[in-house]
Amino acid sequence: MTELLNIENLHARVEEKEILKGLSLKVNAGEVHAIMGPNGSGKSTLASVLAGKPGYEITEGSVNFQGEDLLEFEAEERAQKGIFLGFQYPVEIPGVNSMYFLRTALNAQRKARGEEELDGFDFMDFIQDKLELLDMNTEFLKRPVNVGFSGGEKKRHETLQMCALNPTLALLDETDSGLDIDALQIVSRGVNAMRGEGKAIVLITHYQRLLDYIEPDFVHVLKDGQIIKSGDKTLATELEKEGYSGLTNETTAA
Amino acid sequence: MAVLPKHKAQLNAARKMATSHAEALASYEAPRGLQSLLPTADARAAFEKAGFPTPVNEAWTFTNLAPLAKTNFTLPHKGQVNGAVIGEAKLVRDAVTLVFINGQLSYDLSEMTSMPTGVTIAPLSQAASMLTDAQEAELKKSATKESLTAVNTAFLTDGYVLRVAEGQNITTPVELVFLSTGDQQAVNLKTFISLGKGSTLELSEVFHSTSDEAYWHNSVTHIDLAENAQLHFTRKQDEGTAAFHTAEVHTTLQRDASFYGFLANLGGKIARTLFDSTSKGANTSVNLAGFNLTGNGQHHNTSTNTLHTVAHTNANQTFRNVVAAGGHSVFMGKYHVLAEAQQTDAAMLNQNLLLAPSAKADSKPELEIYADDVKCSHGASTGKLDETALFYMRARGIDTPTAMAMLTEGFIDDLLNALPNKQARERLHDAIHRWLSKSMNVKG
Repeated sequence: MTELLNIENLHARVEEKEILKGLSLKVNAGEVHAIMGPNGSGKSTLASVLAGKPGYEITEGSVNFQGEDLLEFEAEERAQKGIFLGFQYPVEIPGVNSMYFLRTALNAQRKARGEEELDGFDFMDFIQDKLELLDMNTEFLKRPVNVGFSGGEKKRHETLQMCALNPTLALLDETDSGLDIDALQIVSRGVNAMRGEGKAIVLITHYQRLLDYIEPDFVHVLKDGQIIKSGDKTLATELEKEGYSGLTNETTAA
Repeated sequence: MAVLPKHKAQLNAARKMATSHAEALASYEAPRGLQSLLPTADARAAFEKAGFPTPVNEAWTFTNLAPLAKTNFTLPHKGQVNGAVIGEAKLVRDAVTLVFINGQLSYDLSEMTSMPTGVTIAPLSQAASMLTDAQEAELKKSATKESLTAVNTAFLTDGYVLRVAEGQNITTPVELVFLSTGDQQAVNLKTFISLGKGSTLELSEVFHSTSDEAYWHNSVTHIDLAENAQLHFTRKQDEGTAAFHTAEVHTTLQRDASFYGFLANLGGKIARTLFDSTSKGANTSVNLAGFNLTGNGQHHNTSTNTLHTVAHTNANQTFRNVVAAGGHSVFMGKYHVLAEAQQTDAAMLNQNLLLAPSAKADSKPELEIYADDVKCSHGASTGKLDETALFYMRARGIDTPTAMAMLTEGFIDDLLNALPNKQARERLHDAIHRWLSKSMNVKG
């Protein structure tokens, strides 16, 4: 099995507050991992640190992605190397329409990989089936990024970006929060289409419900900056019933 | 106001520089067709008495003209430019176009064959007979106005007179291109525009250069809109990097008239544009939008002064300025509402985006209201690019300079929707894009 991501004993802080306190996780190609945990356990911090968001200080540990030290790279370089972060709160960008945004992103990544950039026409051909998969149309692409989007539209837009950029490792930060069942099904369709050999998905979620639609290979419980329990998908059902409060640090083996 | 010794010294210096400016241009002769109309001697005396504007004058608090005042200028000469430069400068490809080089109309480079019926346009030097009594009076009293108006009259190069006949809806846009070839030339332009009752026009003015040497474009424009006339007026200042540009646009509106102005500042070393308007009839509207894109070593000042003299008039303005490292942008806007001007509806917005810690923006929105039943608002904000939006874009693989350029473009681009002409929108969009790519060092 090819190892994609290896996080070892990761400690990260924002200003003076330590949030990740020795987190370890291995993700192999072809796997879907779900990371669950209560509010404030460090789930979003983990996603942010992996994506290269400024403002976090790594004090200890390492993150290896496809044989390279991930922490050495800028956010845009990580994206170009195949890491995608689906935002919990997608950001509004007034004045920049979705098509321009997405085509610029795609071309930046293609260019970094030495591939030819797509012009406007090629891009429209390229994006068509992805739009259809997510029940979206080209009108959507003319709107400014996330401006005036409903919660469901924002998450579908995140999923569209993921499908277009076709990452090796997708980190989806609470992509399911606030979605109704229809939207959840559509988003899950997009995520499931991403599954495949050579790729991996890490779902960060608060709720077990998402896992009814996207079946994970592994479930991890994150609490107080560490992964305190790992198991298969039955762990999620267990958590739904029992809650997080009963869990203590039993194992850190992934 | 008490004159402080410091101010007195400044004023003396400003006067001295005005005198040496006038002496250097002493061989000036007014255009033949205007000699009997232009009060050049009075204007020169007024200019020397007032001196160049100094920061003591409230309107010039933020704008120091000393670099302009200290430059040794020459009288304009005939210049040669390549026709391709015109294509680059123009905003509206299909427009009827008059090209002025160093302030003089070039018939060779102008394109006037498709001049629409109802429009009369001619260089001022040959159009004295076209001026209305009011315009002639304006010309005669120009010696008594502010110093830059006076120097404009004292050393007038030329300008143009444009008239649209009553009831004419002109669908062919008209564009004026003012080019300078540099050489320290001081070019003074004076323009009179009048739209007859119920007429409409799209007019644009472009200021451009073929040179990175110092020169000065000083222009004074008078616009009269008769009852129910409608003018779209777009101005693109994209002068050379060492250029000085000072401009005044004075507009008068009669009842039901509408003015749509767009002021774009990109070029020049120091550029100041003053727009002022007087709404003399009910149901007039003055709509202004525009931007300054101010880079290292540049200073852009956009000032507006909108006077409401009767009830039921409207005004609206949005200016967005982007300042890169080492640039200084100024917005000064004023709504002046007289006691009679009840029910005035006027909104003003100035937003500034600073791209670097050394970028500077000043904003002075002002309301002076004597009526008691009006709806007037102003807002100003100055900020940096949204860090979360930057990270969002970087997380998609877009490098920082490109992300900054895209966000900045998004900040100003929707202003362009105020322009009625698609070609002008596209040309300004491209100009913004080029400016940003250059300022942000975006890799091609």
